[in-house]
Amino acid sequence: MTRRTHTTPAATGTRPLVGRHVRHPLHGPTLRRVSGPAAPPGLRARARSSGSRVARRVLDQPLRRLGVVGAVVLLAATAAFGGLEEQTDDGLEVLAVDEPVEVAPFELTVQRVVWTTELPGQTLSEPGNRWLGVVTTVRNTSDAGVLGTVLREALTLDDVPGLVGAPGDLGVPASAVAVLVDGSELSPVQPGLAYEVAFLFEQDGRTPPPSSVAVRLQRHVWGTGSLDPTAGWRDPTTVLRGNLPAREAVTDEDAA
Amino acid sequence: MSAAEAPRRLRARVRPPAGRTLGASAAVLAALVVGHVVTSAFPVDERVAAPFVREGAVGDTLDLRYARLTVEEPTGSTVLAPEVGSLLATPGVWLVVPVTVEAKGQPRALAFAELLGGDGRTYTVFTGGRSAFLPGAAQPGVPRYATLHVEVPPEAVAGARLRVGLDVEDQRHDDVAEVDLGLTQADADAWSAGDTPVRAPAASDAPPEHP
Amino acid sequence: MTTTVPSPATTSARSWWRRNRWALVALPLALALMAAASADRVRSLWWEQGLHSPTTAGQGQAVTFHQDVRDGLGGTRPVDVEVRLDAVVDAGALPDGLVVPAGARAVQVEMTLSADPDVVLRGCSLAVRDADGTRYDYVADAWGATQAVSPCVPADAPGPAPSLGDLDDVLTPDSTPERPATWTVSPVVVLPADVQVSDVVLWWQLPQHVVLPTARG
Repeated sequence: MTRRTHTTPAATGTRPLVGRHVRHPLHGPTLRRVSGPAAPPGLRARARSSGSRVARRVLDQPLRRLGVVGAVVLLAATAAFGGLEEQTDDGLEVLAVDEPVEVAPFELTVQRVVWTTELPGQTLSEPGNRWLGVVTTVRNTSDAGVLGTVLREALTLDDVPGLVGAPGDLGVPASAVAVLVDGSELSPVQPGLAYEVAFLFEQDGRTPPPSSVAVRLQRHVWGTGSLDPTAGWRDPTTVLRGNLPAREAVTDEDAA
Repeated sequence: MSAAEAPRRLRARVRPPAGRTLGASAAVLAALVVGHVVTSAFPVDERVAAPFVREGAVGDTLDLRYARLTVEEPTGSTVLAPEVGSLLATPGVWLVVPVTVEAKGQPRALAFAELLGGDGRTYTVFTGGRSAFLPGAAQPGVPRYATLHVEVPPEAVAGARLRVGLDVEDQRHDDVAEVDLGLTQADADAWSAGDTPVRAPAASDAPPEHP
Repeated sequence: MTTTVPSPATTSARSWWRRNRWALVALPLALALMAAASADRVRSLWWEQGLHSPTTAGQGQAVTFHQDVRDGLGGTRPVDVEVRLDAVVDAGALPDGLVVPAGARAVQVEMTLSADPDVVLRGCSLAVRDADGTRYDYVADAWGATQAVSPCVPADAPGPAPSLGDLDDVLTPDSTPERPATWTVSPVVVLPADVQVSDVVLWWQLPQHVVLPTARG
């Protein structure tokens, strides 16, 4: 039996256009702003007559509220196709000397911060400037070699006056990363090897040599960028920061 | 249905029954779930974009789309003597591999190389730096003699394979040569013990002098 | 009187083909248009990366070449030049320091060009080709020698340099003499000894190029 709700008198006796359950529109030819309940009057009448309080209260809600509930249900449903991807949590830990820290893709152990005015194999941009070197042990803990550009972003200096390099979002990056034993630039960083390097920062000679520097370590994430579909180590984020004492270099210590 | 009423009926807003709307929403959600499963369950992206690997051994001439490549006997040490600059030391071991390139069709500048170590890790070789391969442009028919040097931990030497290709960034859908270097643990031990510098001369068109 | 009633299968099959005949006729055309519409990368990744648009000269004759070269500043500049291949011979006098590798030989490409002195012709590329189409490039800085960077202009009077936009004000003005209206060049190319040169190609910006066949080619 065909179920019909309110039909206009003029339409009585005419065949329904679409299917069998033709709902009468909520409003007539003139439009009114909806501020009342969302459900059509016929449905609400049936809910009232059914005696269920839940049905009556749900159908009495205005459209706004139903929309909010519907949106929450829809968002919860996105869990079925990837909505619950894990997010990495952040928190800035304190950096200590001689303690290996995991900053993907590297494991860095900061040993000491020294400064010197003469470094064979490296040229100062202006005479009188000095080199600040953060002596570190670098280990690539990933499965593939990584270019030196990623290592440069992994360790930066903060709050050190007079540095020649331009500061980025995450501090001032090193102007060179020199392997201590032969003075060459460390690139690419191969996995499975422990390198003794010095991250070199040039400081203006007119500022007094620092007694302590703030060192920041950044970790990268392996993935593809939004504009660049090639996979790589990107999105450096600071995870450790520490104030380390700085002293003048002793002659037998640094790069050849 | 009268002619006057039909247009009025069409203008009236009709809504499908609740059951049909719910069914349609469920179908949309189901399609999203299925789509997510299909695209993430099977790792086909790598295979679709994979290079064409041409395998060979030391001394074989591999015929690639863009060049004929021959990888010669590798040598090694803990100290490297590059063409320019001072001696280089490594916490692991230096592997020096001579490569002969003969371009095909037009001049080619090969720029890609990597070492698949016996320990399963991939050792990057760039166009400059401590691990480098830079043959430069090779004229077709005129062989170019280049040297590749890479630093690896001693456990990666045995069973290492060398891959050489054309474009440094993108090797998809193109030929890549893969050569089994035929190295053993004995080679790794001998090289990590010695410190006689091993030479890595710059690329040239003249064959290297054999000692 | 009996009439044969066609079976439902043949009736519907015939009518489907008839009903869709115009769409089927248009289908190959639509497929071709679809392929063409999504093929814009064919131009930038293939057509403009190789020698695909030749201007061929008659043997021993001059050819006029015109191209509007993209100047890197958003506009174009004209290249108008007349080129004639005089000869491709084994190089008698090698450039200073050139060492020909074993199994290779050096050939000298002698050409006569003429152009307006204010046309920018610097930045050209030269190659010789054999009958298979293998290209052997002219390389200015190779095999121990240093030859002119642009093989199509005289080394001492190469003519105007391409504009670099705002940088032009900062660069020192060009002090080389004006390029003559007609000149000859003889760059040296190193190629394998057993290769016969069949033509010479000269280009400023791919894909347009000048093809100059040799006597043998």
